Amino acid sequence: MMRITERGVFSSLIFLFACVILFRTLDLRTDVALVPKMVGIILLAFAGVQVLMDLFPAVRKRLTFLNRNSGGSIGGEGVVQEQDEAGDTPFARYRFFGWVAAFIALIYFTSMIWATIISLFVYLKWLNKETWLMSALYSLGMALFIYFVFVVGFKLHFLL
Amino acid sequence: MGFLSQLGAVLQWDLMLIMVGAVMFGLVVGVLPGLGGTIAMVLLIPLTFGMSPEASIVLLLAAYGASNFGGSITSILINTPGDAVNAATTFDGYPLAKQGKAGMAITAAMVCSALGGLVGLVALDLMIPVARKLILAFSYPDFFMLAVFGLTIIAAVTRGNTFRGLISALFGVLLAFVGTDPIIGGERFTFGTEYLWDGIDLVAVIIGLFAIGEAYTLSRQHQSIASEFKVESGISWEGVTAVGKNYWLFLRSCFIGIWVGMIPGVGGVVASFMAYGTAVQMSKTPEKFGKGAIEGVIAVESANDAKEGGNLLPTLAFGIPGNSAMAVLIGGLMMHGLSPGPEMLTKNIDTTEFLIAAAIVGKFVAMALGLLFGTRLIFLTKIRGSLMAPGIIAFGLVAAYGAGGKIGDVIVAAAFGLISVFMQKYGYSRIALIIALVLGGLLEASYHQSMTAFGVSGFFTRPIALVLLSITVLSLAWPLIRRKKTGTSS
Repeated sequence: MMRITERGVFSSLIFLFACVILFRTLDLRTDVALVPKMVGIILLAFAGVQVLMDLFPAVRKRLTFLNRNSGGSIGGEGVVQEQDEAGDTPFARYRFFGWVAAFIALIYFTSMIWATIISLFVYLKWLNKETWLMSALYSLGMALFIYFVFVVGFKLHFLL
Repeated sequence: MGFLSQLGAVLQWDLMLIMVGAVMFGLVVGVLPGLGGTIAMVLLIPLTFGMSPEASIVLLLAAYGASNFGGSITSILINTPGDAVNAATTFDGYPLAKQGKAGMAITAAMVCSALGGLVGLVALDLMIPVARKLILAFSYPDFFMLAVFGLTIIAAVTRGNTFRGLISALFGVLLAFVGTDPIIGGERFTFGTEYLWDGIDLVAVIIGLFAIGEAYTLSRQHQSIASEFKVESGISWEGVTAVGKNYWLFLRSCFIGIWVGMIPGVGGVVASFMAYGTAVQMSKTPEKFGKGAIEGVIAVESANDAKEGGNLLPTLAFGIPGNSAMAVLIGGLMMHGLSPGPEMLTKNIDTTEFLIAAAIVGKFVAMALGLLFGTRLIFLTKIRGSLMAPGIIAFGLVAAYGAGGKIGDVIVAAAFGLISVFMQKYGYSRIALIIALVLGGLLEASYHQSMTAFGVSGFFTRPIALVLLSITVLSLAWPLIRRKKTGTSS
């Protein structure tokens, strides 16, 4: 029985990325394509298995050794943890990254300074439900800081 | 000790001014829960645009070093570690604070951090001549095997899902191939966009994976972590003498930190917990631990800062970042035309010595400022994560945009921010991705150079390559051996 989940979609995208890279190697000279092809094939195989495990719970049950976490209650930075935090809903995620996308669009169409003022104000006032005063002071303060440090200080005039 | 010759260069008034500012910033970031040294460096990257490489090194390393100090203050006073590496400090630091000995615990933590950092960095300085001799003996097949080793060690040390750790690393390697190929210099995997000709920008990826990814986590924290607290003085001679009385514990913890720090991917959390565990095991009064034993604070803080010397060795000598903070440092150095790897121990040896000197001075400045102002910064824990998030995003995007003025870098940072959220959620390793992105180029270039100069036999006949190959195979087989051993013993 197939089950489409966000986890499955994410692993499918990695699989798709490997497919695209491998497809693009067909246009390249053999020696130029050699190493990417080798790495791409391994990623394709690994990501393929991961996609199957994510989409088909029965496969996941059969391949338990691949889902096993290596022991130890502590870990280093390599630690990979599956988070299940409160408030981390798909809506919250897409709303947040939708806001980041709008921020980037504003940088492109206006400037970094204006984009900072507008985006931060919108985020604080409407997404974070802060007071008008806090939203205005925070966004203006941040924009002024960026202006004085980067434009005046470091002469990065393209931020204007 | 080569770094001594660079102390004069560090102790210039302009660099010291930058250092004091960076240390204060590092302390603030360290105090803020959820933020650590990596974020401190990411947020400071845009400030290095107009600076000399030396000033940038001072800025980044001073802030990184000071963040550990800030994190230990919150661990002791309010039982909340600023970063994961400070978690073990809470075990005995907080009980000490409850007994009215916060000043002693904070002083011991600060002194151990500064002296631990000094021991770690001096050890690094002493290891450099050995590493230089080794690196000069390296040829193309050895570099190839080194890159393979760097990638597999991440999978081997990843405590979590190794399979997804490997997928993350392979994904990172493929991303490193985007841009121009090393053979004919033609475009590859650029999908017709001029922007990708230079490859995927490392700094933008780091900003996305660490700053934007963490900002998303913070955006969901609508409550401050601290309520009411009493600020106590941070200076106590009792703390200083406690370190002197436990000098053997201090040194042992430092060496644990240095050793663990040298292994890429393991990080400070393991170093601090391992030092704490060893301190408990070797103590004559293990029952005191967890109830307010100053030895617990000394062990953790010494290991925590000593590990930085260990971290810097693979980063500077081989270009293999030991952790995410070192990946940021590599990005920062590359922005200023310095490429970590063999050149840092040969052509740029003065810069390396300067870097060590700056890190050592930074530790002592952080100790002084931490003792003077550290406890006063505790009010910052009242700031909600949801309020910090937009500021971090804005600063992260300025960092990505300001580096080259390319909107593509901003898009890459945001895209990797989103990828970071899913990677964390579904158990993929961000550090494996970033290390692979750094090593991918070396892997491919050294493969082609080896094949041209030596042929396939080069990988199996050169002693260094063979040793590295053996360690690689061993590190991959180690989890299986360990499992078998555990199974047999149980």
